[in-house]
Amino acid sequence: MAIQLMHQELSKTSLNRTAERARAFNEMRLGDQLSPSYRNLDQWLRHASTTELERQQREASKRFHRRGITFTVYGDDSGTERLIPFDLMPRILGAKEWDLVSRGCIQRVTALNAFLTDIYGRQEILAAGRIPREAVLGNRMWCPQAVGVATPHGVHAHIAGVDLVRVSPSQWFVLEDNLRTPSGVSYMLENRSAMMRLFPHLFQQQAIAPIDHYPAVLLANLKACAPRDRLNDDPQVVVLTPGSFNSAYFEHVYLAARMGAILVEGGDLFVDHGRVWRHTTTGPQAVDVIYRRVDDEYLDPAEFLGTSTLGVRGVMEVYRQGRVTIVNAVGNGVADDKATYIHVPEMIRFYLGEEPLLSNVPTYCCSKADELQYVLEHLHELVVKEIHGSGGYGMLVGPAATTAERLAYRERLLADPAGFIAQPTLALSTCPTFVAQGIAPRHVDLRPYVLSGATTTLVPGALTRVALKEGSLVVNSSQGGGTKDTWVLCSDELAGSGPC
Amino acid sequence: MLSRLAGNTVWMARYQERAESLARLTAVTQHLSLLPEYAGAAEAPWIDALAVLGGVAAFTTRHGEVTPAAVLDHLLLDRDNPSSLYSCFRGARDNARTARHLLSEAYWDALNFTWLTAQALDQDELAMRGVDDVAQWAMQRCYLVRGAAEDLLRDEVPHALMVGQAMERGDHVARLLAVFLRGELADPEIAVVPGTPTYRRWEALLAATALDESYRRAYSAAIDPEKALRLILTHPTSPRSLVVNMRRLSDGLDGLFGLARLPQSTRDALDRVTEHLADANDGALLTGHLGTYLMTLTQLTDAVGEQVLAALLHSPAPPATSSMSQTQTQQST
Repeated sequence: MAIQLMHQELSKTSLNRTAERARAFNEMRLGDQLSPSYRNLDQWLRHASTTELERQQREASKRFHRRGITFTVYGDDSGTERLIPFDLMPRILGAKEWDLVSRGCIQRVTALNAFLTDIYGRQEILAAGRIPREAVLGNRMWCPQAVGVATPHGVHAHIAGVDLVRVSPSQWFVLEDNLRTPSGVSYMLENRSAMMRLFPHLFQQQAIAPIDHYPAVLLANLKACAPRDRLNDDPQVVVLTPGSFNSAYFEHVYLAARMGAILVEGGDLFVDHGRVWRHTTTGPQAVDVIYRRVDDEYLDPAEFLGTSTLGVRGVMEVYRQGRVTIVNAVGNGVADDKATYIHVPEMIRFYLGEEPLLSNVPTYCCSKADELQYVLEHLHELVVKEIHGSGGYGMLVGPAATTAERLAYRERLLADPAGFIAQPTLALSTCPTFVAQGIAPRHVDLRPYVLSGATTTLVPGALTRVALKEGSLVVNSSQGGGTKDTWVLCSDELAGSGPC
Repeated sequence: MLSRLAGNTVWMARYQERAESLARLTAVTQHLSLLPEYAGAAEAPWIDALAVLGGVAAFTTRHGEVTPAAVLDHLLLDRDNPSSLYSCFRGARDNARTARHLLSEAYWDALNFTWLTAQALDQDELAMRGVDDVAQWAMQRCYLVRGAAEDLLRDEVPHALMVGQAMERGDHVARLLAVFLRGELADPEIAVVPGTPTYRRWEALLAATALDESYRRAYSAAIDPEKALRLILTHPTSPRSLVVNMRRLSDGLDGLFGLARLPQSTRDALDRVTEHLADANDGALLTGHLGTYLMTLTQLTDAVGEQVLAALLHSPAPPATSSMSQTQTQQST
């Protein structure tokens, strides 16, 4: 699966790598000080040979191949199924470190769900003038078809993938909130499963918080959000996949299997007499909850893209009538968009009356004249992104760009300032990583998956993505990024008992 | 079970069964080709193998002259032959992938690892390991997949597996009989004496249907053509007789669709095969009209196959709301 996130890549020529690494926070060692969370790993690494690690790395690859944990590369005829590189070295977070991440993510997603309920309902935050009306109603991702839909428990983002980067022991930044169809959780779970097989002794030596209840929590939430008006006592949950050629197909299968849910394609479902049904060998069966991994615009050819064959004609009308739950809800794009991102701290204050626990990356809105001026003057040190861009496409990484590239981008900015935002280049933290040269620090990010149903929770773990190339800040799987298992310790010296 | 996945699961089982039959026939043919009666004409048994697997004409169009090496390449390795061992393992795996959430981890692993290993199979490896070793490996992988099916939830999936396996097996055995029981083997006047080419060909037929050991246990005697045919066609305790196979097909269809829901034409097709098999019990099979009997058997088996495939493609129309609610409460998922 190509994980759709790209971070800034530092120019090999414009920045001195050694200086950059020294600047970045090393999560295992702060100066000469070994982080207590990494003590056991450090002990073990002192005795582990490269040969042994290489053997384990091969075992891991073999296991991923056998289990079919692959992603599909679009437009690649040679080998359509590939592995995302898996790094043997775990990323370890102490209980106290995790506590901040956990509370911060829950706070953020709770506010985002309240925001979505509000803007597709009473629009109080707009009336209060806390967010400009135009920022929401004029947003390209605003979805009129979702107006007035009352979602069970007010949940719109049942699954949220919050992308975080860390720059110091206590400072995390949120890069973006993925509220549409965040992917990658199967890697979080499979990485753990592989690590438990490969390094059982490390799990015996210290208590690491389990994460394998994720599918059970997800299923319980999906059922909790089933419509009241339904035919099945026990809600019938399906996972809607675009099909086996989709890049994330393995994950769709994986989640359906782990939840015991039914994996369907658009053609398996139909709408009749105001309900959604699936074709089965014994006749139609009613469907109550659709965990869709199909984007909004493909969901219903009657209301969105008329040519889509991935969705179900008429499903939106059933959704509005409250006889089927669509997960994540339709229209979430307006809340995880880069232009809306800057307003999330204000949402937290407005809906929860709290100060944000996790920071936003300082962001310049090019629609504002003074901020545009600053951006134009500092293009060489900023990252500039299209507001509706994703996957790292269409952005300028100032420090890595040539003068000609900066000049060309400048023209684009001036032509449509409101289409862009800019942020400073962050020094992502590093973690020990097994690479060709041995164990070396590499930059990482963190994507915890926040689950919302009757309550909002997250399992104590996340997907850590790692830039395998030295000096690179690109964690995108299609550009040399890999993944790691993320361990949250059940307790640590600082926090006492933790998430277990 | 989703109609689409029922179809895919049936095809997965068909490909799996086809791979096993192909591997077994390859091992049998390889053995035959080493016998003195084929000295200087080693291609003859390979032509028969191609005939069973439905493709002498297709083979000669693509490859020209029949040589053992070319046939082996075509049957085992050829990626463009949709019925090669490679393609069968691939077809099984591709279909399994669409229904993976319905299968157990063990089942998927057995099937997927087979496919991963099959991809590395090439001329060099075939030359190094030898035909028999590769054929035995393929059969053992198939046994493993079948064994893994034991732990699948007893819902529609095992029934879909039964349908696919029984369809493929019935089809394959009908073809084996039609190809093998020609010439001397169909001539009741020729005595079947151990140590003769005719006897060895009967042995090969039993081995190709995986009934050679069962024959020895059931009769503890030299091969008698009538008994051998009964074991293949109608014997009630034979693990692979066509009668047993038809019962499995019928049970599988019942579990998948409910027999009563199948069109009358499908049930009629099933009944006709069963009745035709019952005719084999009258003992007159080897008295001159075996060829006609087997030709009819093949036609009836083909007709069943067509009916089942049509049933799998059939998508039930949505009934009225009231009956839908009823369907909902009556049917399990």
